[in-house]
Amino acid sequence: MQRDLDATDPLADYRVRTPPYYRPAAREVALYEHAYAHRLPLMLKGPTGCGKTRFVEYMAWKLGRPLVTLACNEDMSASDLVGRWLLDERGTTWHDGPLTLAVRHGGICYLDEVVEARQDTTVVIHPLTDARRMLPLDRKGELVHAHPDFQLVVSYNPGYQSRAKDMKPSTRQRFAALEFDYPPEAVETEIVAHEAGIAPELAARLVGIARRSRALRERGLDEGASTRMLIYAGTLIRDGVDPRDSCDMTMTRALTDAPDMAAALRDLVDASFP
Amino acid sequence: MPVSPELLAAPALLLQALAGRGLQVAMQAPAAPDAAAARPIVNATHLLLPALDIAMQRAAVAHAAAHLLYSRPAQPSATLKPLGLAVVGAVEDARVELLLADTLPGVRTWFDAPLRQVREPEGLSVHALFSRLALALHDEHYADGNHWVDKARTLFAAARRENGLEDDTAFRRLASVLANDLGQMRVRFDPRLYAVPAPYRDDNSYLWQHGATRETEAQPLPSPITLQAPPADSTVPAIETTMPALAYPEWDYRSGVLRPDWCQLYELRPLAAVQTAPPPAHRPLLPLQRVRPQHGRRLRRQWEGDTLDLDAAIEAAVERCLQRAPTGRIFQRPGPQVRPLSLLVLLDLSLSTGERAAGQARSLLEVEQEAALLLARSAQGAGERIALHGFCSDTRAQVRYHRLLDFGEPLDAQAAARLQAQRAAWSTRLGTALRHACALLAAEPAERRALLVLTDGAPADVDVHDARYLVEDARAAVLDAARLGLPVCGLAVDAGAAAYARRIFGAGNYRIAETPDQLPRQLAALHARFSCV
Repeated sequence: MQRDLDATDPLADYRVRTPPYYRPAAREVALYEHAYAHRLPLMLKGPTGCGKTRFVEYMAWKLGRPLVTLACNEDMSASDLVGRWLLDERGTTWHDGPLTLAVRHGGICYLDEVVEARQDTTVVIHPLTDARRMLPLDRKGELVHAHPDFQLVVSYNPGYQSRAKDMKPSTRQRFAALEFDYPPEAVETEIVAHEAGIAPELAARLVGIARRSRALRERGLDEGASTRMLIYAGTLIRDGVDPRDSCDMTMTRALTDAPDMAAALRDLVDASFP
Repeated sequence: MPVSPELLAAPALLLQALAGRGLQVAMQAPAAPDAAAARPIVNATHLLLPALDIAMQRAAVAHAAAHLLYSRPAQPSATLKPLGLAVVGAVEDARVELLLADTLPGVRTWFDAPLRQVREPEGLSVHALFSRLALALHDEHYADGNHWVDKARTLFAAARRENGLEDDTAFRRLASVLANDLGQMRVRFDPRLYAVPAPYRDDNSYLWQHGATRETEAQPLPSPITLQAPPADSTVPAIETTMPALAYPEWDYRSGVLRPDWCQLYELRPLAAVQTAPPPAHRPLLPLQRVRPQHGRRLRRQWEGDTLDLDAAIEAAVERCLQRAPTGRIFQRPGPQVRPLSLLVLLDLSLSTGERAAGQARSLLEVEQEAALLLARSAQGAGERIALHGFCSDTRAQVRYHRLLDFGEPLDAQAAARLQAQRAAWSTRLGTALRHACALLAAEPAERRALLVLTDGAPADVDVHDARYLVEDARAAVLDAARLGLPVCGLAVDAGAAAYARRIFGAGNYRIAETPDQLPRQLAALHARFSCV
């Protein structure tokens, strides 16, 4: 039965089959469900590695919608989003881009780190994010009306963006926004213990390091250690790597190049393990 | 001008991480040889360290963090004698260290080695007893044999069992019992010669109130503010204000607050130079790296791309009709583009730049002006947008900001004369000028923007007596700029600039020209950093 469905479902590859682990920190699940019920475009804000992408995966699974994810970058053009003509043996054929796929067949399109894309690229989402809900493919001369299940979700990190890389007001005011931060200490410990498969005591130690490193954010560190980093560190420790080496590799060296900051972080790690 | 004590960055960061609270960490001035051994000092704003090795320094930072986290500061000390203060301090040191080790078990080993190292196994001097007391309270398995030390350990363990470590009242009680015992033992105690045995532990002045009053923070600006005309004999050219005063905040590192609207900045436009300086001799332009934007250039005949390369596609179709294998390179895409740069150069016009160093034919200001002109010519020739602004200050009520050459303005003879007519005057309040420069630069539409500061010394002004204050303020301004995506680089013409330049601009973001002669080359090197994408 599943196989038959897949043959006709162009978004089969994008379906989230296994439930992703997500530990809610507040009411974000209920709020997302309300937003989806009205197909409101959503913007997820928050620091790197705090669980924005995982949250979208979880919601896509919970709502039973396929999830088309696109990591945005500076070189991304509008064609990368909507699609382009390609040549084959019969001549030219049109290939839908990921955004067009989601619009046509009713998926959730998730543009990760949307401010990394150039502003002239992001304007193609404008007609999708208001009452029109349509996507003009001007190269092809087609107007795609969005499938009733389609929803657009974007994420961005307000922490380190420069003013040059901000969203245009005309773009950002089309979205409802959910703000994320690193979860509360107990929740973060639970997440790290679960994801890295380590004891809660060890997870609590790692979370302690991260919380203390986040206190250095204003003092030359762009961002403190993220939940994702802690999971990496925990995974290596579970593998038998010495905790200090593991943290050095996954946190200290990843976070900074400045010798003073690295020395301080290394001492912090050293202080945190018996 | 007092020499700013050496700031220690790594220990300050560690302290911030451990205690969640920032203090400045600095080296103490060397103590007089006959005084008691120097120990770290913790106060509301600073951790002052004596000369310690790296491991001891780390322990000192952790110990200070323990006090900041768990000790009550500035307790009234009226009823306690010096010996009592020392015993209460020793017990408190042990208590807060154990509390810290509960959450950060790694620090235990940091404290362990020095405590064992300073232990005097023999003798009943106060130093010997305290050295063993510290170890006994730190390590519950340490058996000393001295009745007083063992009693201290037993009482401490009992208090810890009954009430936990958080509540310090039980520990104050046992400390007074122990102090009483010491009195009975007739141990000689000279507070002037006593220092805590372990070199990483602070002198505990943090714990006690010394009756000093806090200086009042709010000092309103003197008003009304009048922009003083420069004295007649001054070499400052006539000026006209083009804007009302702008208020900018200033960072006070001692209290860790941004004082709102603390400095007044006047933007001035110098009148056309009265006497036009002789045109500068022809010199080769600075060897600027030429990475030119290539607008609209498209890469044709690519394996992949946004759109079809029509010519190539038709050729391919023809090839196919002729039954020949067509090439697959039929796409075109935009070539990599170097985004244009807007560079604001901020010149220090303070009085010291006008001085001629011994053996130098020209003053720094003259070299600065010439280098800035060359840079501006080269940059404009390369199609970049460049602005030359200068600043000087006379207290926080009057920071003067000169827009010598603005973005998009041609560098004609008039602009060059304007730049060369600048005369050195007054002081260097860098932070305020930086904030204003950032505000101007932020209005530039270019995607890549950068700020370059040319200075000859640490920021200073006549109304600031703490040498570090304006350095910290400038650093705060640089960090704010970086958050806005405006990188700030510094070029200091001062052989001794390493410490403050690094503090202000951050590692790797500054260059030092030992002498004015090196300035043009260093300037070109810094400029190259911005030009490369």
